[in-house]
Amino acid sequence: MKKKFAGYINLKPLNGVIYPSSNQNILMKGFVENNLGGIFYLSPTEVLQAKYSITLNTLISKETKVSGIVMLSTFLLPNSFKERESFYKKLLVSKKKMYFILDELALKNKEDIEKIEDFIIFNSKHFVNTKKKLNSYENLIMKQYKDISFV
Amino acid sequence: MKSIQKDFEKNGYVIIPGNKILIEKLRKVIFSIIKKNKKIKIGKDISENITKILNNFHRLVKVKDLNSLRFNIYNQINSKSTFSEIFYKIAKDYLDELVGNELSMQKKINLSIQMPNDKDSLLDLHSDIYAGESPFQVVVWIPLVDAYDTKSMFCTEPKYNKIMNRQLLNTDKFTTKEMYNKNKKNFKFLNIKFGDILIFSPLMLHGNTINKTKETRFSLNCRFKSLLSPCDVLVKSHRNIPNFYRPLNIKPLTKIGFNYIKKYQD
Repeated sequence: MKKKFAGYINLKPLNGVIYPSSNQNILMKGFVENNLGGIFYLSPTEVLQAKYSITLNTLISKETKVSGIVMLSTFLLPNSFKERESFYKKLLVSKKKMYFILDELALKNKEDIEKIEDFIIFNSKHFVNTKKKLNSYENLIMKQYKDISFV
Repeated sequence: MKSIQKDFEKNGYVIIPGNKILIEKLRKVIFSIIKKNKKIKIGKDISENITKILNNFHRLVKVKDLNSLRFNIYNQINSKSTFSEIFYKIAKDYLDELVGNELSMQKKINLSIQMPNDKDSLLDLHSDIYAGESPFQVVVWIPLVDAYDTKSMFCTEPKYNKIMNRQLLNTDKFTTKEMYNKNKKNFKFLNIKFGDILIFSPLMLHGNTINKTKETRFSLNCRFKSLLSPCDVLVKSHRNIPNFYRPLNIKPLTKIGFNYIKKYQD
């Protein structure tokens, strides 16, 4: 019998881009059917105004009877490290798995937590913000290399 | 090795010897996928000569079937990490010199197959920066057979690149095709022997035309940038982590530093 997987929609910016829920659904449905060979069950949307990720907590609770949860990226997990830590514990206790499509990562056991936390490093402003100009220090360094340019 | 830094700064690209044994390994992976395709009949007389088979691929496959076959190979080579690990090893020493050793590597390795007279596999004059790729990036381009004349790609020189880039970004008078035709003399097809590799800047205008030779070109390409260099530059794009690149060789101090920020940030 095919396993059921829930999608998780979060409309906060991912790398500065908000993926519409319809697009998130298309990506998640394709992933569940083609990569996991499962049934795409439901995909509730996170409450943007809430202090904690109530929708995600509902999906990992016993009330939601699925084998796993699928979302676009680890960047959609809660921002707070403490909240994530508690979420990882609950997920492993529930024996559910979690899949992050764009990152090509999955959380299936305790060892995967480190991989996911290492990846969330790249959700910092340093990587996500668009570089629009050089700062004064960079300008100073580049003075001696101004001729090295192709444009 | 130092000279490749100077050559790259001067020309916008370098053509250098790759590890032929490893390139041969990549080629064998692709060939093994091709061999499993029951629609492709390889004559016994050439069944062990991979160079001959790839060069004459247009005799084995019709143009209309090419793209689905290419996608099939693309999906298979990207389904396991070993292919990209070998790809990285081939270019590693040069990437260390040009980019660094703590890297972001494009998640998918692209495969190009360009048959003689195929009008559907063309990439007109362009610069990768126009699609929002990072100027901190390089493209590593590995031919799986000799690439020469129109069987290869064309590229320009920095002095012409500056002029044409400015024109291209500010004109409504001509298309990229017209621009190429008007400036043909400023481009040259790069001759790259099997075993050599090309590394070029995404700022350099390049492309291909109809392959007028009698042989098919197979080539691979993949992008690398320094891990800590900006992904999105001037414009927002999807070509960043996690969409486009995977982190490669994250050093302990990068983890420690960013985890420190992560713990105490708002």
